[in-house]
Amino acid sequence: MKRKKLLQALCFLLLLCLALTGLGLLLRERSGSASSFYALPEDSVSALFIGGSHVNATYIPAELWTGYGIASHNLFSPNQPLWTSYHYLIEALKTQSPDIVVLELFGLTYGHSYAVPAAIDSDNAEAGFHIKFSANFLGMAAASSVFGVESPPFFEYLNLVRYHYRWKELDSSFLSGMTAESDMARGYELLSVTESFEDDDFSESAEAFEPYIGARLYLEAIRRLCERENIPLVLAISPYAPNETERGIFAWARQYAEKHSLPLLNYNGADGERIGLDRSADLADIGHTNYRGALKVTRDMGEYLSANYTLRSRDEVPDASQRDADAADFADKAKISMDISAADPADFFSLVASDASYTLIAAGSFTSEQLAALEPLGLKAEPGEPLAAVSTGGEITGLAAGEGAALAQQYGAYSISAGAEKPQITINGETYEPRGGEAVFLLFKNDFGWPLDLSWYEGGQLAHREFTSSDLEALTAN
Amino acid sequence: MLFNSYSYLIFLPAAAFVYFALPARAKRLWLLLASLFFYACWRAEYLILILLAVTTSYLSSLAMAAAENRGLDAESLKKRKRACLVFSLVLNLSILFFFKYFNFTAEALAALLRREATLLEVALPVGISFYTFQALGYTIDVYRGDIAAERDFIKYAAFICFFPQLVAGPIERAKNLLPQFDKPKPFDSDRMRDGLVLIGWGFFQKLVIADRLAIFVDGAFEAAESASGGALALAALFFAIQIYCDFASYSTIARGSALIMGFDLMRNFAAPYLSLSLAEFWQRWHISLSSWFRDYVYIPLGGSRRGLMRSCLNVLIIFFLSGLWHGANYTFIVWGLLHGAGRALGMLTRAPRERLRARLGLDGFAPYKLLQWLFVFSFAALAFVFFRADSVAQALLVLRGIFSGGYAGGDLLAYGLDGADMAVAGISLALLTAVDLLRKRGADLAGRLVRLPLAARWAVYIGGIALIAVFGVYGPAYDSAPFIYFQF
Repeated sequence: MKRKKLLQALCFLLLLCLALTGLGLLLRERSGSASSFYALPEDSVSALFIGGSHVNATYIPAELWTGYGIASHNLFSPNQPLWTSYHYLIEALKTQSPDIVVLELFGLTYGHSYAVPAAIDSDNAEAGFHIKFSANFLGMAAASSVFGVESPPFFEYLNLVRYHYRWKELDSSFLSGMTAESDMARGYELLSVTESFEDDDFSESAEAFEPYIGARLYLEAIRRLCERENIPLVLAISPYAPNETERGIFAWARQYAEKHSLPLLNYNGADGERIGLDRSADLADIGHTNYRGALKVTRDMGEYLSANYTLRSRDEVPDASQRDADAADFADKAKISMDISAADPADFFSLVASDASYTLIAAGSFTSEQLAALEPLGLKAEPGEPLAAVSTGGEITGLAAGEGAALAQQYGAYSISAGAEKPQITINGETYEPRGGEAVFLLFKNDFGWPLDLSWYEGGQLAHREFTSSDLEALTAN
Repeated sequence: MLFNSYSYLIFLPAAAFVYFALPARAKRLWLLLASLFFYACWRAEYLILILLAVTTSYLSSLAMAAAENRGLDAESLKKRKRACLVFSLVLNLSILFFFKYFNFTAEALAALLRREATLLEVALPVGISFYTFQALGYTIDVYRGDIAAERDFIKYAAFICFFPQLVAGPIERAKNLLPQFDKPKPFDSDRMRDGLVLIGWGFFQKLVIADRLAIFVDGAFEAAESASGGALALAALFFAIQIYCDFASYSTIARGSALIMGFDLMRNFAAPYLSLSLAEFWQRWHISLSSWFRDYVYIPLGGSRRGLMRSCLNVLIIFFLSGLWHGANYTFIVWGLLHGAGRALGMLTRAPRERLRARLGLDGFAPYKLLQWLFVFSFAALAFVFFRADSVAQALLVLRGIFSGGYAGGDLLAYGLDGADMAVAGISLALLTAVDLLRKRGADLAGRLVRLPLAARWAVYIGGIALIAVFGVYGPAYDSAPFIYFQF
């Protein structure tokens, strides 16, 4: 009798677990770099880059493909700690057998960097777990719970606990598999803006600083995993503006690399100096390279990998033609991104006016000098007069002038309004105001169907804020 | 440790497993240790307060028993026992006053004397009102000779500290709970199943209903100045349901947890919102506290034996104390007095009302019953506005908003609950009402569930857990809300 009841209880628990796991799978989040990774054809990645947003901003797979024939992919998650890198690598090896793994080492600075543990743990919990539910997922949850100093308990990583509120969004897409749409940029996000840092120190600190124990343990675990799988491991430190402790940690990384005979490309150290990195022009913010910096690092990495490792040829890459198309597409978009980040107002407005695929929405009051630069857009007005205007292909298609001037229009999925009185632009309820308070411009790409860039005057020049894919995701969710 | 926390989901099975694994003589000690750990998870240093309440009530009761054995004359014995009772009452109520009412009293006096109040910076010990009343109830029972003084300190301490009901009740009577420690029941899978069903129902009330409605209530009360009358009326309605589900869920989870280990705790709520009079409401709402006040304050004050006016005064005293018991704030006092006044008015008008009802033949007339229900529910809901508000001024602001119209404000979806959440709340409330109605009519729902074929029963269990898991308000996407009655 007792045995029968025990058996019944076990069966019940099993059924319950199955039901809850099924619900978790149904409601789980399918976006993020890890989920687009599942869209790749099997065994199609030659160089696998793993790490956090530093990987996302620094290594350009399209450049590695067109310039060096290296089929690479950036498997990243924002603020990725090394325990997550380890489990991402395990996940990647389920479908890929890369010729080389490049591990970005910013995760080593856990607890000592500009990104504090609370932010890292929160980002990791929120955006790092978009992998398939498996023993590896549970292992990653356990590791994050144990090693993240401000991490939630193990249970909170489970899909059902985190995403149960998504029942409201339930539609037919929930029945799809894990695969998100394939990512044309393959885990790279172009940052066109520049933030200037005076730091020109590329010397490698002599005094090593021991990293957080969790980071050390998982660096070792990654090294052993690669050794076991017979995959060469390259360590890389991407350029940014590090503090003294971070430099000490990178010195420790150098010792670790030497001890285990691993190559380490330190672009915050000697390698950065060698390739002519300039922190006053090559960074987008304190932690990431802009496109210019990313190109320098990627090209050097491409040369290094080509020269030192046997990587599969183009013919051996199953999605080579897709990569060709994606690279061409990426080149177009990169050009647009760089063009529209022009700081000179006259250059920017001329470029916008010359291409009918752009719509510029302007709001504010302008000096006569600023109005002169705006002329190619077809805009003519009195200096100081509040204006809200829309221009496409050098022609004004909407104009409101005078006190309280405002315009509103629907552009695809975006409801955009511009107010001149207190210059501001609102997109799907989200309001943007320029820092200087004079005028604000929104550049909308008609053929893409989404806003590209927000700009405003700063010291006579234009400052830009590009809309990232996550910005657009948040806006369309509004 | 909160019932709606992951730690409790680990703690309860672990505590129960060890409890059943231990020999009978060690079970009480284990329950005491587990209970102290449960409390220490919140604030270990306040364990001393519980132990003080346990020790003083234990010793004073033993002293009463010792006095009885000394062969004293009746008068001396009464004096000695009264001294012991007063010692226990004064000491325990002083501690309660110090931690719960000192600042409130100091502020009230300072306002009266137009001086600056000197306030203490002490945190209110969780559950102090509950365990203090339980200990006092025991001491009074011993004083009255209703029960014998307990000599086993561990057993008595386990009774006061029993973790399922330690911090938010039910306030158990020694007569009911203490004897259950004498004969520990062996593990019983049916009892465990029934306990888990109770816990599941408690989680449904808390996570799906109470915490969902709390989002709207918090938003609307915060925006009381600008919210429409409709939104404020809905917030008042929602809060009445929220506090019922929040508190009843705690009691239900407590009963379920205790049942797993073989203990029967009293039922604290019995479909209070289906009451047809305020008197009935208070027989169904927070039964353990209402009956505590009835047995230990109302009856000693004379109860209803000294005439109608004195009964009304006693009722007002009881409800004033009940309000004050809930919190050191004028809002709770007003809430208590409103109910007291309502009850007193009901007592004063009972005879003419009954005559009128008989003359008009309204007894058993369904529309009249509906009106009675509507009156009681509306009264309770409006009185709860004071319970929820931060101040009397805020409560009046909300009430003014409710009665000043503005029912076409169109802001019902502006306080955190969208249409889908409202739909879930509505369906859940329909389920809650159906269950309460059936229970009020005496239906044995748990029994019916158990008699279902295995597959159907499992489908109900698994479906229920899945519903809570999907529609519950918990996890990183929400802020988890502690139980409201923790603050008392």
